[in-house]
Amino acid sequence: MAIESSPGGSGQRGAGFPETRPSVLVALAGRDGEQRREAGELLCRAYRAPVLALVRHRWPGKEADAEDVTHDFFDALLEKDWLARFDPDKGRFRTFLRVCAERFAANWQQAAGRLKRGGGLTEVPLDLVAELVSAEADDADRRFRDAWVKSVFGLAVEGLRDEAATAGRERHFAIFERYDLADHPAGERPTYRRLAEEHGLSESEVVNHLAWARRRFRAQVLETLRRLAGSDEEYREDVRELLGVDP
Amino acid sequence: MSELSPDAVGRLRDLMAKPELPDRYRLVEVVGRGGMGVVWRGYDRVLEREVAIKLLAEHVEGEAWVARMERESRILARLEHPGIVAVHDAGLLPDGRAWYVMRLVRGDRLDDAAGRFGGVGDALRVMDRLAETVAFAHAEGVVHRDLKPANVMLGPFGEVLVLDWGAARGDTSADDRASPASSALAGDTAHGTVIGTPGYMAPEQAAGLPADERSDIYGLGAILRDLLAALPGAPPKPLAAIRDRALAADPAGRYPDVVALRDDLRRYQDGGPVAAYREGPLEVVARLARQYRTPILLVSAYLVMRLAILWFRRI
Repeated sequence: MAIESSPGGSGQRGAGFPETRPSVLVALAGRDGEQRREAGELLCRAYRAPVLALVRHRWPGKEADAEDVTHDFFDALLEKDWLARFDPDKGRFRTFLRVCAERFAANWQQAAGRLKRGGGLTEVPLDLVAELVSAEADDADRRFRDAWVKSVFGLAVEGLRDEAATAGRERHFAIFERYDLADHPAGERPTYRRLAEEHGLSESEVVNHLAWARRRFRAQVLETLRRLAGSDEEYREDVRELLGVDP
Repeated sequence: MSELSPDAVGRLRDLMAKPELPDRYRLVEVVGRGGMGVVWRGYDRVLEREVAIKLLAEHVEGEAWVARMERESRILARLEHPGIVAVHDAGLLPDGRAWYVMRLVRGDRLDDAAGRFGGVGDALRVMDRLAETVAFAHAEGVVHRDLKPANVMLGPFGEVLVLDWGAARGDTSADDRASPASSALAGDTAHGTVIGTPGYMAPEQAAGLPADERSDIYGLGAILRDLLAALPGAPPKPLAAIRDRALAADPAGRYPDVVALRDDLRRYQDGGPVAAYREGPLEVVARLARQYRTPILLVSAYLVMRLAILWFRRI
């Protein structure tokens, strides 16, 4: 495979991306308080739903606890510097987080049981996490991944909405939202002509608006994946996996 | 955060994964993937035939890469040659990615097939066809810049095809001159871009200097090196000398052009002296003996017969 590098140093991974914002892991390990806060927020927003789905799947019937476990997990994750233990050579960051969450939730449940009997909370044995990072995919992992995909798309849609507003292209987003995001009964998806009439545009303008929004949505997804990935390799794997295309 | 329905997630996934090509083409499966592009096996509904469709990879973003893909399709369209895959159609996806349709090539990649070569003759036949193709491209002002066994396909009927012209530079192409984006990816040292593959790219390419025809000669030398290495035993000295001259670190030390390299390979195949190797007197004799084996054998047989006749007459 050919290598291509540029002054930006992004190589293949960057492939045209302006790396304006560091990855979540880099930002959280840095000293810039604003970047740390923003990265922590992105991490929580991207992984809150997957962790919640995981906890609900592992411990069904404890819906009330699931929210608390998820909330406490992210508090602990960011406060106790667990992310520093992530080693990209041992597996994906996403798998690392899933295993962390599973261990945390298991301990949380045990501790909750002990509290009822007068005991207290214990630390998560994170040394075990590295060994579990390569844990094989199972149903819980699938649920975790599906929720993560939904989160990534949700973040990208939000990013696109902001980008469109900043660029004065709200109509572009509105057409995209109506055509690609909104659910329609079978056979009732609006045609380009109908969208053109609704927005007072020509059909070709609708096509161009939609093309811009889709192009930028794709860029938003890729940027979100890049920031959330634990390594260049993981980023590429995520892109392939998310797009459902085997390399 | 935007709450998406499962159906919306599915649509967005499809939107990201499945390129929206014109109705004329149906995508079947991914058959190849490189750093920049993805190649699908597709079907052309109008001409009712299978085709290969190349488009920018999902993670590749930016106008410069689109320009590069467009340039690749234009270069390929310009290079009508049996050793180069023909382009039939090209365009842009709604999401901005460039694509083009080309003939679907079936066969083995050279790096996979080289281990099955029966001898030097097979390797030289491939090298001859490769050199012909690259020489044609050079005559058209195009430098490939990423020649390697993985970019050569051997067809079932002996075809030798040079693939992946994504790194190529067409000096005479108007868009190369006009587009800053394309020149940023075309080896312009002002932009510090390095294009090529370690082990196959010429030293000047690796150093970020402009690549020219002699850089392709280095790539051909690297392919010859690999083909000879896949054969048992050490290569004959003249052939090793041809390889070494093509792989000279200094471009000035290589063959002046691909035709000179091809001619040297042909001279070797024909048993003649090669420009890259100075023979000793014994080697000249041995080569001449090999080259003119048949007439030498006939003359020798004639002389033996004459001597035998003379000897019998004396008795």
